[in-house]
Amino acid sequence: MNESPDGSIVASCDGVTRTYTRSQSRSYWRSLFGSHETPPTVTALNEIDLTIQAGELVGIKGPSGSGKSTLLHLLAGLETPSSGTVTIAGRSTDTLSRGERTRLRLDSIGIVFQRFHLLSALPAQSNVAVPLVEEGVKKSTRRKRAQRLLERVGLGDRLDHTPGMLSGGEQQRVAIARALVTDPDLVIADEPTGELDTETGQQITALFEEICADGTAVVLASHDTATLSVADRIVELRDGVRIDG
Amino acid sequence: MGESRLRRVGALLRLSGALLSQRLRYTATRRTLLAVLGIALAVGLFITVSGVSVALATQGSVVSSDVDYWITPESASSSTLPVSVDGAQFGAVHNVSERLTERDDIAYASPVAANVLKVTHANASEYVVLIGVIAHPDLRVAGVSATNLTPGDPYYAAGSYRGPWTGEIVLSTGASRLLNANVSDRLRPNTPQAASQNRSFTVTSISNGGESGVGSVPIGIVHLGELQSLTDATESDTADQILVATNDMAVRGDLEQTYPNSNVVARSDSGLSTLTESKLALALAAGGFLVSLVIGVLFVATTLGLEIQTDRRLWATLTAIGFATSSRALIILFQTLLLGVAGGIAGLLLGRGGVWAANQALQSIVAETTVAVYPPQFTVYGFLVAISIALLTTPYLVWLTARGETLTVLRS
Repeated sequence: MNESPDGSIVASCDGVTRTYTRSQSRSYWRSLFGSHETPPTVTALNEIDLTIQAGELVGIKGPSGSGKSTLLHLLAGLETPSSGTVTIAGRSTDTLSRGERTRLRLDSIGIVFQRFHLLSALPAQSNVAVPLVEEGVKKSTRRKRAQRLLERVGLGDRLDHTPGMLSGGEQQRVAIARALVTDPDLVIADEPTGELDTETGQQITALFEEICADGTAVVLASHDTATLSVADRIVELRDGVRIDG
Repeated sequence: MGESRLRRVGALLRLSGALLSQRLRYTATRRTLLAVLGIALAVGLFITVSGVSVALATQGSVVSSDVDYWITPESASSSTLPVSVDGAQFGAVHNVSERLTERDDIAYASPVAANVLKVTHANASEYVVLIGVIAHPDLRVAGVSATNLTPGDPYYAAGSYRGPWTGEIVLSTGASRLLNANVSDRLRPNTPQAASQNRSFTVTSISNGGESGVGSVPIGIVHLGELQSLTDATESDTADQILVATNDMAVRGDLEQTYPNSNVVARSDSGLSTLTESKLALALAAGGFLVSLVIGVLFVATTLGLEIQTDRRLWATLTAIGFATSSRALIILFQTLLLGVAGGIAGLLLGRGGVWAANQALQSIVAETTVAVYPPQFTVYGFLVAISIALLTTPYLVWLTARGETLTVLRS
């Protein structure tokens, strides 16, 4: 467990290990023809403990293959641990069905991807409002909330612009607004500045600071030390193990 | 809760439309149009095949329930019993019928020739099954009474075809409805002979009948000689069958001798025969339906399946931001239904074209006759096929979206 600043616990990992089986298809064929060899496994994360408080900005640092993305995916409920417990908004993800984890993401987690992953057919305002569609929110409320968030990330004059009409930095701002539109407890960002130039990257990083100031927890994985400089604390991973003490 | 769910469904519908429109306009125009084309082809095929089968059934339904025997050419099997457009026909039918009618043990005999012709009333032209008979007050063909036709066949005039042109026609209620024609209205058959001789018919009465296993069939009963003159069948005096009314079972043997290579079927067989007819038509229609469905589903599943693969990032993103499987399924369902409707409309046009082409092809080869029809119900059936294709394809497409590994896709 980690020391915590103030506020309640938003998410935690207790002794989390995640392993992957290699060459599953080959193992299937082997088992079909009578071979019962245990397939080789890779440990992506090993015995990770982590607690994330409301309003905290936690940086995840580590080289490629260190387990950063795996940790983020576990915290996002996109995967479940092989052993140990991941708790998000008071619910242990390994006890939830895939559908329940999807609902948990909608209600409590916002995700920002390195490559934005906006819906190219929709203008910025509609892109931001997409998660509210799933929540069954009224159209007028959806539009208002999306507009407010786009204004907050500095894109109040780009409401009707489709992703193709926006720069990389602007697209990432739209993605951040989309992640915030359901008022999540936790925002997870995987290399959010990876596709951006330094100046735009700094603007995006500053946005995450603002988000935390409002009480939302942010977990931000990056190679870039400048991006991580805004973090309240940094969790450093190497070969799936925490090495930040 | 219910209201919020409705709102969600409405919003998902709009989202589907936006995504589909984007695909159609920018990202996958050709593939999306191919999916529509696939549905259109399936619907078009279904309508053409069903059009032919209904036409067969229509002609097959020309049976008389009041006639004890009918003689048919042997090549017309019991399953295509009464009339076949391009099947074998009898010649010299007036003489034969006259000879049979002269017998004491036979009440009357009448040849029956059926031709599906386009008939114009006011400015509307529709296909109607015109049935030529030697009129008799007791004669009913396919349930339509010939009572209001002048008895006999005046225009035939002992083979000269120069007798008085009565121009009388009895319409079934279906034909009357289809043509919007009433008693005393004038109808013009669209054949070159009718045009050159300036021939037309006047409705003498509207009779119930013409109901078959595939719905209401538009039928018009006319004098045989007049129909023959309109369809170039005067030379050999041909008809498709001969109906014989009698109470004497013993005549069957004699009837079998009337024409070589002919069959004589008794009324007691007719229930079975009509059933067989109606079942044949239904079987053809059902076969067409199944084949169209399979072709349509395979086509749409392939084209839209490729589309799902191409759009896998979109589906992975929706999964990652919290869209439930049911919501993704609804988006896909709406999209396939929209494509289904578009394909249905195109398919109906194709089907109409197919029916027209089938008739044109036959008319240029054989004679002024029709092998395929397009009843109004086909519009509904065509849409049903299109919607069925959409509904049957959706589970596979939903499975494809669920199969994509969210993480792998989002990392790529």
